[in-house]
Amino acid sequence: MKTKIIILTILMGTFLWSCSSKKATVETEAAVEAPKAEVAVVKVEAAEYINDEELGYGHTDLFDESTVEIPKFDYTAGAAGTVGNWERSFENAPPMVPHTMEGFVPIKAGVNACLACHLPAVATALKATAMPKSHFTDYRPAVVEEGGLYKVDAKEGQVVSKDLGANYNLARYNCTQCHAAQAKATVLIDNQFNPIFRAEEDAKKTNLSENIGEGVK
Amino acid sequence: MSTTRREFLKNSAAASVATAVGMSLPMGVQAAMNDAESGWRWDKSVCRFCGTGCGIMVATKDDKIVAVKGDPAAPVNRGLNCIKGYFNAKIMYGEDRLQQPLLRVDETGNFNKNGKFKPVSWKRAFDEMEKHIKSSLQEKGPTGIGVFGSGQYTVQEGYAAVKLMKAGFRSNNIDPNARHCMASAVAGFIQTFGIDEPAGCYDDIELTDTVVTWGANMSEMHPILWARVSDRKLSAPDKVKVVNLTTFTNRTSDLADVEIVFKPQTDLALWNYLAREIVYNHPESVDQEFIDKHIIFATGPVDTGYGMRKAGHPKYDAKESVINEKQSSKILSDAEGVTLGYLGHKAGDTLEMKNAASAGKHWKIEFEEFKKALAPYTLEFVAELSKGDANEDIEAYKEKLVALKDLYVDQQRKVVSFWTMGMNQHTRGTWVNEQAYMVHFLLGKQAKPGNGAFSLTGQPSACGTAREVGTFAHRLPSDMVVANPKHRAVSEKIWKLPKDTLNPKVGTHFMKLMRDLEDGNVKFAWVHVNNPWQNTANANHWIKAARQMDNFIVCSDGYPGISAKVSDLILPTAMIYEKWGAYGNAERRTQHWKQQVTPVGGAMSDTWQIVELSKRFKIGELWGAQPIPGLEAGLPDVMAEAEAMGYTKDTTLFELLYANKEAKSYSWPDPIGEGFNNTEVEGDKRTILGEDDKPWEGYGFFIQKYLWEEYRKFGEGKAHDYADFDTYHKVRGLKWPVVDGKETQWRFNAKYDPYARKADTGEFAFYGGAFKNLPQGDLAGVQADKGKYDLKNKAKIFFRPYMDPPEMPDKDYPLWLCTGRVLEHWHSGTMTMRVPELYRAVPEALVYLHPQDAEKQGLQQGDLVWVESRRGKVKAHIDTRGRNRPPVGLIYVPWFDEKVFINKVCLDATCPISKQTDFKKAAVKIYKA
Repeated sequence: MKTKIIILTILMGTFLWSCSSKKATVETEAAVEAPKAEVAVVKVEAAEYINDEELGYGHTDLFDESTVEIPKFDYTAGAAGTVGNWERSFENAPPMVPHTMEGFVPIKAGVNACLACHLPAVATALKATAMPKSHFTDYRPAVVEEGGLYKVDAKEGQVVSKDLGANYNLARYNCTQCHAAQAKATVLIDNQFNPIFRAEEDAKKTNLSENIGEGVK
Repeated sequence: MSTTRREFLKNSAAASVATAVGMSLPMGVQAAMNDAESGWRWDKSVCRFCGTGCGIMVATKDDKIVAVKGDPAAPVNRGLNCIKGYFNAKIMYGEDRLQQPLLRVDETGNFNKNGKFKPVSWKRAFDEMEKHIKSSLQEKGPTGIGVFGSGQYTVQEGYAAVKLMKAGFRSNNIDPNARHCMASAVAGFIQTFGIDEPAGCYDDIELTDTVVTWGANMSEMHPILWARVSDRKLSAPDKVKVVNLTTFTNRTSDLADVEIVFKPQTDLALWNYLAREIVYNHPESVDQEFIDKHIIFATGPVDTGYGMRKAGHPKYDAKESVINEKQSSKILSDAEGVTLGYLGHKAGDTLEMKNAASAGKHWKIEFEEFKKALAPYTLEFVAELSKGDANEDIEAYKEKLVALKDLYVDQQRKVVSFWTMGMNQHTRGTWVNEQAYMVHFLLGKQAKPGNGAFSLTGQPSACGTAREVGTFAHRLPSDMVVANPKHRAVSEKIWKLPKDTLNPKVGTHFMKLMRDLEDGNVKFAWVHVNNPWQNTANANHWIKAARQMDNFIVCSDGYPGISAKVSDLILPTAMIYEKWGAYGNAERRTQHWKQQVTPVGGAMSDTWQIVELSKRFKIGELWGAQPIPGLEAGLPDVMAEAEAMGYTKDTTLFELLYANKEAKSYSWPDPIGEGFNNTEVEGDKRTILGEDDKPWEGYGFFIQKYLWEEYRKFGEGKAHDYADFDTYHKVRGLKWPVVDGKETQWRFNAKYDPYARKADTGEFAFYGGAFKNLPQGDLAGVQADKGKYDLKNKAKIFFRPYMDPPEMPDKDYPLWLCTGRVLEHWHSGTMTMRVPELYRAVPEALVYLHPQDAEKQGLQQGDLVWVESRRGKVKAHIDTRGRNRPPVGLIYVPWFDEKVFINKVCLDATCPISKQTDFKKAAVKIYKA
């Protein structure tokens, strides 16, 4: 029981679950109230004997699949434009998708529903998160031919940055590669990662295009 | 490391000026200021996950990771990561990280196979390992122990593990999970080129104008390479064509110009269709000069079985035996009647599997023979055989095959063919890999910028460690093999071992290691950096083998996965950014990183665990004569020579293998390590009680550097050259061979590869040394009177026929089962299921299936079903409108979810040459749970 309370406290205290916007959605509030993760925390001081079934998150007899409980997840989410935003998981982490993706995927060549709202030209008016500058910058140097040999047109360790103006970087066309919708699911096992936002607004927006070279040597 | 105060002031001044005049700062200056203000330390590192090998920047503060971003200077990914790559930041911080060794004990504290886990000291853990290894060696000799290695080992870990097993214990029973992932690619490379790993590099993507994916859902499995393909495709949409060959519609199809949904296994026929078209109908597309100069033709036996146990094994029931019978013989199908017609076989004949144990042998044939064997693979025949979607019109399907052919044969077009698990996890995996080279060789589209058949690797160091270090049962470093006396001699010299210390008998491969546990032949097994009990097909057998047989299983892991749960001793293990290491990716790029933080709890690295265990063994106990099953004379006693070399019977493996004179010459501190932890070398703030129950204070010498520097001697001058340790800490990786400080972009191409230049055979030289002296014959077999053929500097085009897989859908099990990964999770999910964002993105493994198949069973979206095969069953929810959209008759189930233990359902059949399991084909039924 005590372990449970500690986990609950950690969840409430350090896990950034809350929505940054006032328009916090029903599902995220519900999730905050219902952290029921039963975790076998392998803490030496506390543990005496540990049954193997308590290890991990499966918690079942490996010999008998009928004992496995497969929870039913709620994958629904509010319509785009009606829900708030997830806070960033850490500085410049790609934001998770707060709204339903139904009807928006698959993303195909020439059919990318994400762009309809997230291109900067329309995003502000629609109160959608605008694709940031990093998505309108090409960091990849060209492969060039020189004296009959192909080579990458950049020195070792060099950060190349080409402003693409109003054109987004096509390497970032597959939005779902980085941005995923989130099921209303209580985590099986808590995570103790603690993000540090060097400026308050970093929890809400990116400064990657200005800071991408930070620490690169 | 950090910005000096002076730099900070200078930058602050620059910032004020910049603000004042509204100009932007050069990149990195703003950054350097943030760095100094916040106490963050950024350092370059490598992504933990797939074989792409993206560079990441890791930010730490107060000994914890606080952020990760894509490394903008990394050539692979230039600042972009996929969702998993970003969340490297969180993978080490799951609440249930293993913190202390756990041993199964009874109430009195003694080890008991049926006991519960109890925390024990590291000393006790090593005591138990020592005891069980010694008793296993006593009972069975060197083959009584085994290691489940990994394609996720750091190079140094893999090297230390191989050295302990092969040099110390004289056991070749070490094999990586890469056996499940890359073995067919390796066998394909070795048989075709005589040397492992791809000719090309990722720059091919920017240089090609055709990308064809064969059994590679790159969009989810190699997302950053797919980002590069997407950039290329969408930047020139009319010129650049993308074709996705797959058994079900997936995200890679979404960007493709042409999607070809084929029936499982018929990729073998599709490649031959292309070859037939080239040879018969498009002779103008053949690069005859290239073939004449650099290529020979070859083939091999077909009666090779499917890498299964034979029927009648006491632990396999009647249901399973139906399939296992095909290991001994099979009745040829209608399709096989056609495709094996060149051998005189016809449908209904019984094929006895006489070459099951010699599947890899092959011989030279003439071009005319090759051409003759291709004859049946007409458009009509192949379209009929291979069409994978029953709802697709055959004429429309044929048009797609023709379109595919037109792209390949177009002489103005560059083509890259990418593949991964679809072609590797295949009961004819080696064959189908070879077929890819067949087509590219015929067209002269190989080993050239923008042109090539390109095998993508699955794991972050399947290339760098599993393959290059040689953590396989048959390998030694640098493509050498234990069966070759010259290779053993080279290794014995570098390792300073007496002659004949190394065991010439190939050890037990990954799948067989499980079978050997089941049969009681292996009594001690140690799991490194992977999850064998979740990743191995037909898992019900192996769970019983672990829990019900008399053996001792040790699992080193960061988190308690299924393998930990079935083990007897669990060792808490440092994870990637808690140790120094190096990975090698799919384009031959070796990348090193430094330890960023202190390990969590009492976790220690695999290297440390391996090296500490070595302190418990003296050569006098190991290097006497040893029995080896299948090796009549056994291993000789080498103690006399050992003593002549200055060792004594009391010399420990630690002193000999890891803390020798050379090792100690790599001193610490070293300028490379300034400002960074090195737990193995100098201990850390935790004061871990070590192997001897005393506070761990470190080896005192730079062990990771020593291991690297010794390891790279194996490849020097042998086309496997690496740079020195320090260089890698200054660059974003280098593609080997690294000669005179320069990396190699395209191997075998004399313009780029110094080894190809040295061979002096014109534009190309396929200089790999393995299998380069071949018997000669015709399609039916070797003709001894023709003698042998020396094909130095040449490669081979193989003819390989279509054959059915051993298990196909029937009335009892009417659906194909294909398994694999999803973008958001890595392998068995032990790390990614503990990252909340990734967990919520995909919290469960779903059964992806066609709406018509759901309807047939009266199932609705989201219903819970049983998926059942002859071997086992699991429950999962169905998804009929998901990212994977199978045709009627096929389901896809990912394997990351411990609760949907799909490997209980899969068949443990392998490619008989590579011993890689086919996780893509099994027959199942589904019904409502």
